[in-house]
Amino acid sequence: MFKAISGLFSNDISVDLGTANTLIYMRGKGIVLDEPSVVAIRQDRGPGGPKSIEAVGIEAKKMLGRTPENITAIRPMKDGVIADFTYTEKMLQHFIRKVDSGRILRPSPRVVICVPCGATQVERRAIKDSALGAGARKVYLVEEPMAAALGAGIPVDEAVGSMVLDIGGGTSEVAIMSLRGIVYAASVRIGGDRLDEAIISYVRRNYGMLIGEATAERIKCEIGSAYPGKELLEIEVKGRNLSEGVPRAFTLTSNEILEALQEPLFGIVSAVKTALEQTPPELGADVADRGIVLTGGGALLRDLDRLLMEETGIPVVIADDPLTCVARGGGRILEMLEAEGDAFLSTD
Amino acid sequence: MTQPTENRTPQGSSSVQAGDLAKQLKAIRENTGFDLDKAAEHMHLSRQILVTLENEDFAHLPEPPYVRGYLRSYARLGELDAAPLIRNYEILRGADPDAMEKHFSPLNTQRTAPRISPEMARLGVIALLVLLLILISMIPGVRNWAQTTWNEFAYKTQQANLQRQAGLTGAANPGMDSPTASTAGAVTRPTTPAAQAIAADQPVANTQDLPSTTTSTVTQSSSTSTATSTVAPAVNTPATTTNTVTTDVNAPATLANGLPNPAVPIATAAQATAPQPQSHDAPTTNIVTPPPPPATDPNPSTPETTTPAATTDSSTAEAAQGNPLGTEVAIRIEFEQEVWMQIKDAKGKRIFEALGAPNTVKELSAKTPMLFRIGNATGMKLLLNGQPYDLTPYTRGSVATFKVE
Repeated sequence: MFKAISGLFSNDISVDLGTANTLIYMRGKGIVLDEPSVVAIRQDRGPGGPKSIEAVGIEAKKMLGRTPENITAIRPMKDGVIADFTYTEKMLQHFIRKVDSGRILRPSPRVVICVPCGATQVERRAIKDSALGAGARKVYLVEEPMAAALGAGIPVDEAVGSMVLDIGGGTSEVAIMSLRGIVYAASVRIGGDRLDEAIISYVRRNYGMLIGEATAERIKCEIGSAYPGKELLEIEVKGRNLSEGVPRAFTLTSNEILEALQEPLFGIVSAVKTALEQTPPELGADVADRGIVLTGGGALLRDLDRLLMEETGIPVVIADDPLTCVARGGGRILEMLEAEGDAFLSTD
Repeated sequence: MTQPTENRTPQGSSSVQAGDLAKQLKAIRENTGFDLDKAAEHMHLSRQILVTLENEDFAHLPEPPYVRGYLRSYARLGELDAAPLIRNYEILRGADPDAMEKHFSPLNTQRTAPRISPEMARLGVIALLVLLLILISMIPGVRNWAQTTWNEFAYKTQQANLQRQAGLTGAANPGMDSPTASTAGAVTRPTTPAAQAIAADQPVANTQDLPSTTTSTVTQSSSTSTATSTVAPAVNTPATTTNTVTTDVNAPATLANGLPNPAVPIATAAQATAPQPQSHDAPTTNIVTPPPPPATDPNPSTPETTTPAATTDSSTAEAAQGNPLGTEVAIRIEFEQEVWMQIKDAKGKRIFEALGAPNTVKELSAKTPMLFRIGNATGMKLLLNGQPYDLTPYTRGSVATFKVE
């Protein structure tokens, strides 16, 4: 009863609870939060001592790999699902409070959360429970590809096939949709994190240098490429020389990173090809005519669309602001929720 | 696939004319030296889409997200920035080109701190709510309703408590249903620990809490003259008006003679100490009929006991209704549960204050007026001059406060 009354004053939100970043879209306001999904935990008085949250989000990400013994910076999400329930809940709670911080009353919001289509029932339940624990009044779960398609502005209501490839931090989701339903969906556990790991492995193998996750991510963003380009980009990075044990600087080129990323990129291309194989012919024809829409942070990898176009022969378009597509799609769902009720949404 | 607004130029965007985008796209393609087929092959788009784009025939193009992607491919082909092409397209199709920028930029970076801190604002809201409640309570109808509801609630709670207590008492001691049985039960209990006096003004009172001690005091007063002097100060001390001291008040001459006066209070004390069932059949019998003298009593005086007993008997009814000022009242307290009680005289001096242990009896006498304050009033029975005193009208919650005049 109280929740129902308080709901009259609440602002519903949609959450893209990603492995790398968490985005929150508030109805009527747009994207109000975009922070890394990282939590720094302080544990004083040794092992077994009381734990407390030191930092969440951007502040915690700065601590990744730079923490003393009593602080641990962790990513509570892994492969698109919850790896640490307690700290996911704390993180969500922190973010929801943060977006509500300017308000006098903070009633419980209705929350739309996007989940990977490959998430199991247990994983979905964990995500839902963590959102409820974080203060949500009601939680709706939405498949990430559907949210991404809505966020990208693709008309999924029509009887036309649309294909979306959402490359996130932990997973890549490929789905073909028509008439507001998913005809085919697949999820591979290859995402931005796997690309970073591939760069770390490549540097270790070829240079005998150890670099951290943050450095690998910087390399990927600055000179990472999925398809050979006309220009050769370079970057100077510092790492620990494994044989000498001391920090050393060295230079990497975009072609080397392209080589390093071949394996995970092949996994993504394979997933797309499999999806096209599984697509009914009519929908496949629509996709071939209009193209594949790329969303998620992975879409920002240089020439990834080019790679997919070359591999599949189908036009590939990158959505506008691909990083926020899922959260904005959740926002569209919130608007639909107001207009049409929640019959079309799942709460399980 | 049909777009809602096509080839419309919004107001304020007159710089972009229909055909501008087509010219730009064509120029890009021609600058790269590609014809339509080659460009389509290079961009992995169908030739038809390129033709449609270069004719600005938006009605036959897919949805805007796709078209923006195609325009980016054109820009890449010419190694140009795609933003001007997309902007022109948005204007030509009648959309606001800046709408996307506003929509996509995170708002939390531009968030400004509220002028009033959230804590202060919350306190203000709470204060307003309290004020509102006070104002509502001032409406006569609401106040009456609240009072009625509260009284009903209190009454129901009290009734429930009484029923529960009755049930518990009945279960624990079935023989206490009738007054006679109750009295008999109370008298046979002197062997149990008596009520523990917390603060008595005189040490004598402390010793008198235990019935056995009282008996020995009487015995001493009858046998030795020193015992008389020990009890004598109690005449002037209200706190020592328990048991034997009451006797002193009624018949100080007797005490001066060194003989115990088995008057009513003494008889009461003796009854409390000596477990003689035949003397406790009825409360009135306890007072009027002198009990058999204790074994240690050397000289029981039956005629002397009759007179004060008669006085007490005549005042029994008055005690229940309200005695005249300064009347001596015999008080009997039967504790069925752990009960705290306090009795004060007219001057506010404590006559009795104790935490009564369950299943114990306390007897004393004092002059009216007396102020009673009893915690857990349902856990005890009060008898004034042998008459049960109904505490229900004075009980609020579990505490009874009343005055015996």
